Amino acid sequence: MIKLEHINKSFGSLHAVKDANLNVEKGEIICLIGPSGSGKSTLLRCINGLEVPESGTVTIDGQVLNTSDKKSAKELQKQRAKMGFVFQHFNLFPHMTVLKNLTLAPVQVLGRTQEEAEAKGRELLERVGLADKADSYPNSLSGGQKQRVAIARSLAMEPQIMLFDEPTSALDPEMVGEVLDVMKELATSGMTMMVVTHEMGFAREVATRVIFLDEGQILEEATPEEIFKAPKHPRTKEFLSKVL
Amino acid sequence: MEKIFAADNLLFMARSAGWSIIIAICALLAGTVLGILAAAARISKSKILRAISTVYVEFIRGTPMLVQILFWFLGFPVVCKAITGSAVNIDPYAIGIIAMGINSGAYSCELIRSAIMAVDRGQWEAAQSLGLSYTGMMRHIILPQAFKRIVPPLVSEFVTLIKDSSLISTIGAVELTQSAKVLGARYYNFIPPLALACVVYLTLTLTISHFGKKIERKLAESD
Repeated sequence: MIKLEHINKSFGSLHAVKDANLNVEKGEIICLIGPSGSGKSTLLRCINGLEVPESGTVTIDGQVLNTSDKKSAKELQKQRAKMGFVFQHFNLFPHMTVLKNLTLAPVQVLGRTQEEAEAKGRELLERVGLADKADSYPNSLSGGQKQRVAIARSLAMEPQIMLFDEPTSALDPEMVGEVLDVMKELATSGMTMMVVTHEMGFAREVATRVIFLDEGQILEEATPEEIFKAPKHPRTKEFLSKVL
Repeated sequence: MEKIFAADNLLFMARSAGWSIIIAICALLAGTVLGILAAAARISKSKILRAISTVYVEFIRGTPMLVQILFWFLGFPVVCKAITGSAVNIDPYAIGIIAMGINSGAYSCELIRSAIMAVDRGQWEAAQSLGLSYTGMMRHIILPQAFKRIVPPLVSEFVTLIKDSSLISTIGAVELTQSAKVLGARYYNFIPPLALACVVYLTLTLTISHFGKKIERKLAESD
């Protein structure tokens, strides 16, 4: 479904992602783990074109993601609309109500009517447990609520895959659970997911595959069972011994 | 003295003050539209658009407004004649609005551009990740948020335009300054009408600034 081939990305002299290769199948739940600055987020951001890799190709449903020339802007928009992206800092639109946050893109991009989008939006808010917040503004919500709205906003586009970039890292500890619960529910529903996370418990419980990155390289990928019980790479061992 | 401030003379000055306001409002609107376009060009990926916008802004900000007004007033008929072949009647009020609007656009461009760039990067990324087009993103996400930062400086731009509208008295438009000059010449006494004009300008600018501050507070509340 998603194929990454020889992805390289640098920021100045920092080689953030080095020759990354990855294949994601439908229904997989992939957790990307690794120390800060290991390139996990950058790799995830390359998938929907928020970062443009220097070399390598991203293929989505057999179609190469083209971020370089302007002619393909429409195509890129279409491909992006198929992928939900959840940010560490939520990035809700502060000047719109929660419901409007959810209906804007379906109306503008997918051409839904306002009524259709609102019905769907309310249904999704129900799903993330925030039906009563439809008419609130994002700034009146807690961090955990904001992130659940952000997840619902992405789901409103009926994406084929959901990408999560450290969705719980900016949250107060007591709010991490509510967001992870929504993500677990999503995983059970069969959604394809890629999650950059420091929540090892979540990775162990939910992931179908765990990928360990360090210094921009994919060093190890295995089932959670294998990687948490018997990591092969010495760097994985060292990292896990620190975080577990 | 009583004659200068006779009712119909005061009415004449009030009507002229109305023109000053209308010209300033029209110039502000034209300037805002031009400013948005120039700012969009300034931040676009196209080198040509960026260059055009930069030349426009630098040229307008680097030359006196009075010269620009004279240039439009005296140059416009020549260009029109060259194109259409016949002489045109030009209206000093329209020329004033055009010249001042183009002038204001250059200043608005800079303040709009900086307000757009000040919108959090996460907002751009979220809009992009939802598949919004560039126009859709600007219209629904970026500009509404930049608007808050644009309004306060735009109010001071309006104050500037009210004052600068006095410059078009030089091309024969009877706005507030010109009306004071006309009355002064009629009664051989310039001080009273000019003083009255000052009071009217001051009342206008203070009122606008006052409402500007109110709007600013309102906008800050929703943060």
